[in-house]
This record gives sequence, structure tokens and C-alpha cells, in this order.
Amino acid sequence: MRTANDSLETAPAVSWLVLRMALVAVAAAGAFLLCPLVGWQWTAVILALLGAVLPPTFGAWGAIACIVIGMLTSEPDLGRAMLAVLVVHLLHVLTSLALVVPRGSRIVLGALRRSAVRVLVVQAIAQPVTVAVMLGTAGATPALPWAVAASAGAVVAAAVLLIVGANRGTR
Amino acid sequence: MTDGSASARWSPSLAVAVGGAVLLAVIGLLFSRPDIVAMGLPPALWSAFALARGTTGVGARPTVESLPTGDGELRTSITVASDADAVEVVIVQSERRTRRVFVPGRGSPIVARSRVLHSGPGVPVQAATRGLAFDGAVLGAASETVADRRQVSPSLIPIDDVPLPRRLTGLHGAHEGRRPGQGGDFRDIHAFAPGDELRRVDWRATARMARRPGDLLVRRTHTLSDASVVIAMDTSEDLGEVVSMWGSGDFERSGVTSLDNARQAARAIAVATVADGDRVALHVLVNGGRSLRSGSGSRHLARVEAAIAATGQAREDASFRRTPHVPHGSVVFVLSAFFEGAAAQTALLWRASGHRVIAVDVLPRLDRTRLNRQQTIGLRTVLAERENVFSDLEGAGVELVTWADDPAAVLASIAGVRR
Repeated sequence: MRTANDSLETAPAVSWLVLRMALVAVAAAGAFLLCPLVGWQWTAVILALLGAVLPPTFGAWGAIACIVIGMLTSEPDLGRAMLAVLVVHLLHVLTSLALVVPRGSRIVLGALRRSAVRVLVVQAIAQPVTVAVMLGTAGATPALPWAVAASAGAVVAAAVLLIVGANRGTR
Repeated sequence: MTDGSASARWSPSLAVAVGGAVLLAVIGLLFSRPDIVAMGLPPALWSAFALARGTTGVGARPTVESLPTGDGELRTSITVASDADAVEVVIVQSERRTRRVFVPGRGSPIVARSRVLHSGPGVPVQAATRGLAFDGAVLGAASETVADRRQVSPSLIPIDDVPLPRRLTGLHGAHEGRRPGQGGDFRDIHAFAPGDELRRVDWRATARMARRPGDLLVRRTHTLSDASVVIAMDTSEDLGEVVSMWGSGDFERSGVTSLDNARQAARAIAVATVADGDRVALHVLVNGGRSLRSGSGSRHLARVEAAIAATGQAREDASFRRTPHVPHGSVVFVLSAFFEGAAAQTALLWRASGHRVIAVDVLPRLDRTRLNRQQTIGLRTVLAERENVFSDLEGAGVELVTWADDPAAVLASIAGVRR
């Protein structure tokens, strides 16, 4: 990052563009792999681009919505579900980072180490749960499988607990 | 290290993650799709970990440390002390370029390099930090800005001869005065008078020229005296050689400026003066401007050089109301671009007081490219006014030296002229 008169020496670093491009790349890969509808694929990419250019719009979450729509139109599949879990997580983390990393900045790779570890930890928990849920619902009736209800209830309960906890923490 | 938890806050991404997880769970429930529900797991887990962590421990404090300079560069080390996952460091280099770097809380220091474009006081690095945690979900408060302040000495131009004052004072020094005394060359043969040393009696001259018995003639020599030099710096203007950059505040593309020349001239004159064993004083011609009283020797020279390096442009509202005291029989160097009349007025005042005054024009050679017609006319006008100022100065007996034109040779040429 040297210019004519001023320069900075840092540990190995990447440009802010890498984060934004990774956001678009993950969204595009997720859309083309998980969403069978061409229109929604491109909508997801456009929304991801919007999220990359203007992170406060949370366009990547719009891309997630497009992927959800595409998945709803196709049959449940374990591999696709696992990939979707990974894509949603990556898109959210990249969006969260893009919110705080402004244009023109540099990111020392060491600053992303804890984020990478956290992605692995969350995925280490989420992927087995996904496998369990998908396998648990494989033989159930499609109307309202018990695993779906249980997992959805667990997620909602967790969200409520988190919100309550957050409110306590801010008092 | 500051904790910073009191002012830390959550990023909107936490609320979005919680809301997204709930929405995915509800959609999955409504459509009986376990894969959709599973998609809500990562944001839910992420939010849970974030809330469990809380907003503490994201304070960050930067420290800057000057590193040895080299190759015309100023180097500054920026270190961050923080327990945060990452720290956003905002660095302003040489007051001309802003950069943001995200570093780990306990990472290796950042080394900022800035090429030295001008002498004088400067701030090569200003840094402020903000701690971040959990992928930016926790935002710390911005720290106070810390700065690395330096003073860059101008390069030294050797001057062989410094013009001397009209009257040399004192009985010690390296310059031969006009008064009788000791140490100088032969002055004259004079009749013995009370106070003359007997060893000064020139017996040959007495034998040859004495008219009456008892007359004694002594051989007199000139005294050696020191000179007093006063350097007066006008810091009201700092004009670069690129005229189109005047007033823009862009000193990166301004080229050499008038204050660069003024500092260089002041240092060169001070060094040459002290090297001759003479006394030098420094005055900055603004209200509250720094003054160093007349002195000699290496320690005094070091003080003068430090003061010169620390002399920057005066505030815009600073005006000349100050005419520093000048020792009797001094030679006064007035260093100015002479765009404002105040420096010239001060020079005329000193000249009228009987001092030898040398006006040093520190305006660099001008680069007139990229000037439009109006700007060219304006430049001609102010330069014509400056010529009038120079005419007035020369008419009053003030000598003029243009620092951009081989100053050592010009000073040497006028050094021989004892006014």
C-alpha cells in the first residue's frame, strides 16, 4: 500500500474489496447451486451486489430470501440443506464485517482469525444439527414432521431468550 | 488499556441475525421444511454467542513512537493495545492522507513512512482506534487521537562569508576592527601615551622619527572583535514554487516553499556565524513568535537550530506588531517573501536605526504552469508590488539577497563591502 510519499507497513493484509467480492461470490454460488429459478438467481446476485456496495441495506439478506424461495420450490435434500446452512452463515458474517469495514481500508489477515474460528465453531454445531433434522424428518409424514416443529420451536425459543437477555444486558 | 465497555454498542447486524433466524424458523414451520428451519441455525447460534460475549473488552488505545529517520523518510511505529477481536486504526499521514487499517488486538505494530517534503514542524502520524468484536457486531468507542510530532531540520548550505556589521564591537573575536587594540594587523605608528605597553615601543621608528629627546613611538595594531548577527524570520506566508497551488493548502505538490528556504537560510547563516566565533540571535516576526537572545558557541547554535526547525507558518490572524530588540551594531538578516509590507517596514526601521540590514528574499523560483489568464495577471501584479518593495529597500540602503540564486556566492560578494 505504497504511494509516492506515504506508505504503511503492516502484516499481510487484504483490501476491503476482497470482503465485498467474497460476499457477492458466496451469494452467487449459493443462488446458482440452491435456487433452481433463474429469475430468483439473478435477483439474489443483484441484491448481493447492492449489499456489497451499500452494506447498511443488508442486501445479502435479500439474497438469502431469494435462496429460500428457490429452496421452497424444490424438494428437501440433505446436501443442499447443509450447503444452505453454510451459505446463510457466510453471508451474514460477511455482511456484518462489510458494515464496519469502509471503502479504501485494509484488513490485516490476523484481524479475521477470530471470525474464521467462529465460523468453524458455529458450523461444527449447525451442520450436525442439520443432518440430524434432515434425517429425522426423512421418514415422517410431510404435513408437519415432528423434527421441523421441534427445531423451529427451539430456534424461536432461543431467539426469544436472546432478546430477553439482550434487554437485561442493556439495562 | 481502556475498557471502553461503557460506550460500546451493538451493530444492527445482531438484530438482523435474530430477526432472520426467527423468520427462517417460522417459514420452515409454515411450509414444513426442516432445511429452511436449519438455515436459521447459524444466525441463531451466532447471535447467542454474541450476546453471551457482551459488549465489554473492546476498548483500544493507540500509541505512536518515533523511529529513526533515514533516506529522507520519517518512520513512526503505531501499536494498538486491546483485547478486541479486531481494531480499526485510522491513520492520518503527514496531514495529507487518511488510511484505515484493521488489525488484530494484539498484533504487530504498523510502521508508517512519510517522505520528508518540507523542513520545519510536522505531524507525520495521527492515529485513532476503535475496537471491534464478534465480526463487527460489537462496536467500541473511538479513542482519543494520538500524534507523533517532529521537527525536521533544513538541509545545510555552506556559507563561507557572512556579511559583517558596520561597526564591530567587543575586544574578542575573529574579525579585525578599526579601533586600535590587540591581535590584529599593523595599524600605525603613534606617539607613546599613558596606558601604552612598553613592549609596544618601536625603537627603530623612535630612532628614526623622534623629534625631541624623550619622545617614544609605539607600534599600534587593530583590535580583533566579534560580530553580532540577528536573524529575523517572517512566517506570515508559506508560498511554494508551484503558483497554482498557492492557497490550496496542498504542500505535497507545492514544491519547495518560502518557509523551507527561510529555514534553510536561517540555519546556514547561524552555522556560518557561530563558526566564525560571532554571536547570533533569532527572532520570529509575529506576535508571540519565538526569540533567542544573542549568543555564541555550539550549545547556543544547537538551540538556534532547534528553534529554526520548530518554526512553522504563523496563524492567519497573526500580524506584525513586533520589532524585536537588536543589539547595537548588528547585521540584521530579514528573511521574508516580502509579499506583505510589514517585513519590509521592519527592515527599514532597523536600517534607519543604523544597522546593516540584508533582506533575504526566500521566495522560490516560481513554476507558472497551469495558471489561467486571470491568475497570471494577478501574479504579475503582486510581483510588481514586490519589486516596488525591493526598490524602497535598496533606496534605503538595505542589501538584497535572493536565496534561490546561489546565495553563498551573493553573500560572499556583499560580505566584502563594509558599509
